[in-house]
This record gives sequence, C-alpha cells and structure tokens, in this order.
Amino acid sequence: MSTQQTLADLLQQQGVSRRGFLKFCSGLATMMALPASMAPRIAQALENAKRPSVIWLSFQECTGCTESLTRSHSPTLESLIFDVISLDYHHTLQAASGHAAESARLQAMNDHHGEYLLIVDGSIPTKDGGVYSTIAGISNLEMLKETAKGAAAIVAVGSCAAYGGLPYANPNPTGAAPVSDIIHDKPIINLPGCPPIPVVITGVLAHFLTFGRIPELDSSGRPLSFFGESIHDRCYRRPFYDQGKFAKSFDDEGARKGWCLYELGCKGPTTHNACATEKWNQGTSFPIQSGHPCLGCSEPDFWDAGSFYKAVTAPPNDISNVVAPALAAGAAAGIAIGLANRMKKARAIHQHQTVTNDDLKTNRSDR
Amino acid sequence: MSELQNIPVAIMDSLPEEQAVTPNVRALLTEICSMLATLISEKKTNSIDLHSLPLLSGEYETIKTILGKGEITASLESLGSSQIYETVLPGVWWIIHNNEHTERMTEVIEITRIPSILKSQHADIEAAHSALQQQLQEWSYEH
Amino acid sequence: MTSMELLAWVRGPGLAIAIVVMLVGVTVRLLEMLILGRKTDLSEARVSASAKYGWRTVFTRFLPNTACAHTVLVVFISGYIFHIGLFLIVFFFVPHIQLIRDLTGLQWPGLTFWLIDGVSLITMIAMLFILWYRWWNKVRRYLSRFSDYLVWLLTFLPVLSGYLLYHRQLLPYNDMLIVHIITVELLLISLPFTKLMHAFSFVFSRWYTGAAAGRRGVKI
Repeated sequence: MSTQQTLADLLQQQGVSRRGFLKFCSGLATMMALPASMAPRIAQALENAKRPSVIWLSFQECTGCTESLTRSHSPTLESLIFDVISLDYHHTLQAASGHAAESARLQAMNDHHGEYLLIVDGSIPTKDGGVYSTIAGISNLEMLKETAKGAAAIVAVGSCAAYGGLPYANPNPTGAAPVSDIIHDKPIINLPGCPPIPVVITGVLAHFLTFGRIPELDSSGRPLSFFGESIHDRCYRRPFYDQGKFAKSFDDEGARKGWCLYELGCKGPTTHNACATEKWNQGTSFPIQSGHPCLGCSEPDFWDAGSFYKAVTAPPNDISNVVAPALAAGAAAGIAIGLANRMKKARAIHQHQTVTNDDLKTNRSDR
Repeated sequence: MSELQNIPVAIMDSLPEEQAVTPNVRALLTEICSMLATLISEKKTNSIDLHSLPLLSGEYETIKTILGKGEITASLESLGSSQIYETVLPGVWWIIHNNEHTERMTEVIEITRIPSILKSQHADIEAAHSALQQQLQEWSYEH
Repeated sequence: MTSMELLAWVRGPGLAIAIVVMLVGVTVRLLEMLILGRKTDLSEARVSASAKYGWRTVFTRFLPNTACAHTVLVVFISGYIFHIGLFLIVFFFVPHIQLIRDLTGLQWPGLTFWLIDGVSLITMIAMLFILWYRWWNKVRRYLSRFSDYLVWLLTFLPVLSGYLLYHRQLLPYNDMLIVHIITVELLLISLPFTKLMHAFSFVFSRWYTGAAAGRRGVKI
C-alpha cells in the first residue's frame, strides 16, 4: 500500500462493505474515547486520510512501552502497523539492522519531510554530551534533534519520554531529560504511563490518522480524551470512598470486600489516566481492581513523590523529625525571652520609689 | 421496576433483586430514560458507551438482565461478527461489535428508532444498483 | 515548576516549614506568658484551694454562658457551630486523619464523607453570617480591626478550598489541593502571632480567670 492510498481505499479493495467500514469507525471512536455517534464523522474524515509515515525512536528506556503496544488489541498491532500506518523505523520491531536500519530512518525523513510522525520512548541523557546512550554511534540527544526537525508532530510515549521517568528520578546520574525539555518548536503529545495503556497509544495514532492533527491536550501535554479525568473520579470503588469504607491493610476484611484503597496509599485522586475505564489486558482489569493502590505512574516525578503506600495527603518525606527540634528551639527561645521579661519586671519593681503625700504636693506646686 | 412488566414483549430472566439495583445501575437506567424522552420529543438519537463506564462487578449483568431481549435480533458479518438487538424497551438497542479475533471492539446502548449500522449504506446501494444494472445489460445483450 | 513539583513542595518542605514556625511560635509565646506570671494577689484568699476553680472553669466555659446569650442568639449559636464544625473537619475527615497518622502515628476512625461535606457547608454559612454580623453591627464594626478580618479569612480559606477540592470545582484537583494545603500552612504559620493563639492559650486564660474568681469566693 503506497502512502498515497487512503484507508477507505484499502478496505474497499479488501471487499469490506461500507457497513464494515462504519463498524471499524465506531471501533476507532471507542478507541479514541469519543462518543459512538462520532463514527460517521470519523468515516468522513478517513475517506481522505493518507497513510502516515512513522519513525519510532527508543532512547533511555526498558522497552516496556513497546511491549505494551505489541499487546494492544482492537485493532491489533498487526492491522494497525501494516494497514494503517507506515512504521518506517523501530529498532526493536524492524527486521533491518545496522546501516540498513539507519538508512531506512534517513530515507523516511527525506521522503516525508514535514509530514512524518515521530514517536519517542525513553528519556534522553544530556549529561557529558549525552554519551550515556547512543545508537549507531549517534547520541540520543543528536538523533532526537536531527529527527525532530522534519516531524509534523512528536508523540512522547511513556513517562520517561514525557516527563523523564525513572532515569530522571533523583539523583538523575545521566542528566536525563524529557522530550519537551529538548524540542520546543514542534507539537508534542505526552502519553505518560509506566507503561502507557496500549489503547491510548493506538487511539492517539488513530486520531492523528483520522483528523490529521493532534488531539486537545491538558497543561501537562496529555490528550484530554484519555487523561482528562483522574483515576479516582472514574474508579468503580469511588462509592466506598464517599461512604468512608477503607481497606486498612492488604488482607483485612475491607480489602476482601473491595473497599477503597485510599489509606493504603492510592494515588488515584492526583493521577490522570484512563486505567479505570480502558483497563489492561484486553479490558480485564486494572491495578485497583486487582486490589493494589494506584502508583500515579502517569504523573510527572512520580518516582520522587514519596512512598507508594502512604496516603496522598501525607508528606512525601518523613517530616516528623522536625517536631522535636522545633519544640526544643521554641522552649529555649521561650525560656530566654521569658527570663529576660522577668528580669525586666524585677528591675522595674526594684526601681519603684515610694511616693508620699509630700511628693505629690511638691509636684503639684512645681507645675 | 414493576412498570417494565407492563410492556407487552418481555423475554428475560427473572428481574434482579431490589438490592442489585445499585446507584450505578439506577444512574444508567435514569440516563436511558431521559434519552428516550429526547427521542420522543426531539427525535434525537443518543448512545452510551458501555466500555468506558466504571461499573462494579455484577452491575453490567444486572443492566443486561433488566433491559433483556426484545423482538428484533440482527447479526452483521463484516470485519468480524456483530450482534445488534432491541431490548425489551423499544427504542433501546444493544450493540456489540467484535473484530475478526472475536475480541470485543465496541459495546454501546443506542437510543434510536433503528441503529444506523442496520440501514443499507448509500455507497453500498449505489454499488448494488450499478452492479445489477450492468448484469441486466449483459443479459439483454445475450438475447 | 510543574503543578506536581509544586504539590510535592507544599506537601513536604512547605508543610515542614509551617509546622516548625507554628511549634516554635506557640512554645515561645506560651512559655513567655507562663514565665512572666501574674501580679501577686495581696488580698486574703476566701477559698483555700482556688486552683480547683481554675480547672473547673477550663471545662465549664465550653458550656453556653447564658449571660451572653441575650446578645443575638444566632451569632451565639453560629459561634458554636463553626467551632465544632472546624473541630470535626480537622480531626474526623479521613484524609486529615491519614496526615495525622503519618506525622504522629496516631489514628482513629473518621466520619463518612457526606457528613463532613454537610458540616463544611454549615460551618461556612455560620462563618459568613458571623462576618456579616461583625460588619452590620455598628459596635462590633467599631471594635474590629484589620487583624480580626484577617483571622477570619485565614480560617475560612482552608474550609472553602477544601470544599471546592472535594467537589472538584474551580480548579483541577491537583491545583486545588495545592491551594488547600497552602491555605492550611498559612493558618498554621499565623496561629502563634494572631488571635488564633486562643486555640492554645484558652486553657491558661480560663484557668486563671476561674482561679482568680475562686480565690475571691466567686464561682464562674
């Protein structure tokens, strides 16, 4: 399929009826977290949608994001990659290696200058000239800058690319940085999560394919359609929170009854992601449903935000150690000031002079 | 829920116990109710994406039982199989789209006279028309 | 600074600073007061154990004083409502208990959210009424200074921001949480330096009043 063909053409060639196409579009609508009534409009947009070229760069990462995507369903990765997008470079998935792989990247950059979609997973080490991660002898920093130049938009997949992730966590030995710290002149879509939900990745690709532009983003650069609401607000255990029914430990009665995990450290209230609705493993479950509190993996700096098992209102680090010194300092200062005041008082008493009637008379006559 | 039993066609399991009608179930049924009102007054169709609803375990089943199966059931074979049926409430349709791997892609409740996917599509009708026309022409040449 | 970074700061170092200022301030002011002492009462005591009356007064003053009830009953009741309301909100809202547990290791069961929700609303209404009355009543207005209005605001803001936070109004949850925590920290910091100090000093002033009156043979 050439990049000039549209998706509608392709489906028609395969003998898929218009009804099938509409059905495909309603699947896309679900995937993009849009109302099902949008299907006809999606169909209309797809009539003319061209197949986009995609370059996927993997930097300082664990491949978890790619693993997540390869387990995505509806449409399966195969149909997504081979029917819908033209994945021209992905060094984990592509057959080519070495020089052939790099020339595929350069070829795609050349042929589709200004039009291709650049997907990045992993953070970019910037310390010491970016020597801590290189591909084909090119530092990640260089490769990102070079490849970003001709991109129509950049999708930062995973918390590392979006916000720095684990490599960025204190003390950040490699000077890791998210994409948005390095590239400033391109639209960047952040799809955080450790890993991100596969359907979120495919949904955003589908959005770009369908409408030819990036979806509406929140202040942290995340698509509102998936990250617009907090886990807590969409959680099926929310009614227990409102009723004040909490699991106090992982094996108590509350835990068995599926009560709210707030007291066990659930970060649902401050975490924006689609886990509660999209779920994982083909819609089977998500952490809270499996009885574990949300870690908040799609928020910036979640590794440095304190214990996973402390309530979200608790301070990230132990600050109870300030209490004793504060009380001691207060006591010392209080006693010092108190004694000084007492001495002042004693001095004042000491300096009292007895006033007699005669004194008053003299004073009056003085006046 | 006793009003539901007054509707003439009702093929369903026994109605769930009162306690199964949780706040979520109630909310969803209320939404369907108001959508039916809009369909009647403004002829406006609506849909509820079941996929994105945060439901407690058992609530999906309760809703499915309450809505039940009505007079019409249709199946669609295109890019995988789909089941489309009207519930015991005329105007409320339950639609399930599976892909070729029988994985559920979409599951929606549509409040409409007839789901648009059941209607013959304009492009398909045109294709059918020209194909039939061509066939007839071929036959007339043969005569 | 992203909102998550700011949140981490207000929850961590910000809170630590507020707690330190509050503790140092309160300890200094209490010790200052206690060490300075009172002028020796040279008159002969009519009752031998006047301290007993002091302790009694610490508690009896929690009860309504009928002598004051003649002013305006609604103001009188509002005062009770918002003090009890604040107490319930601060100490019986589950997220607050979690914070206290984290800081001190102590915990107790909380109240259901809808109850705290209602209490917050009533507390805010009572506080607004009291503010309005302070302004409307000419005598009260004349007696009020800037610090009285400031103290009202410092107390009101945490309740308002908490209420908006719970109902997801005005700002996104995270930003509202930051605002809420900052307003609480401002309240903590201002505790020792304003009339809010009465949260700690009431015990001592009541004791003294009770003991001094008791010594003269007056039961209050």
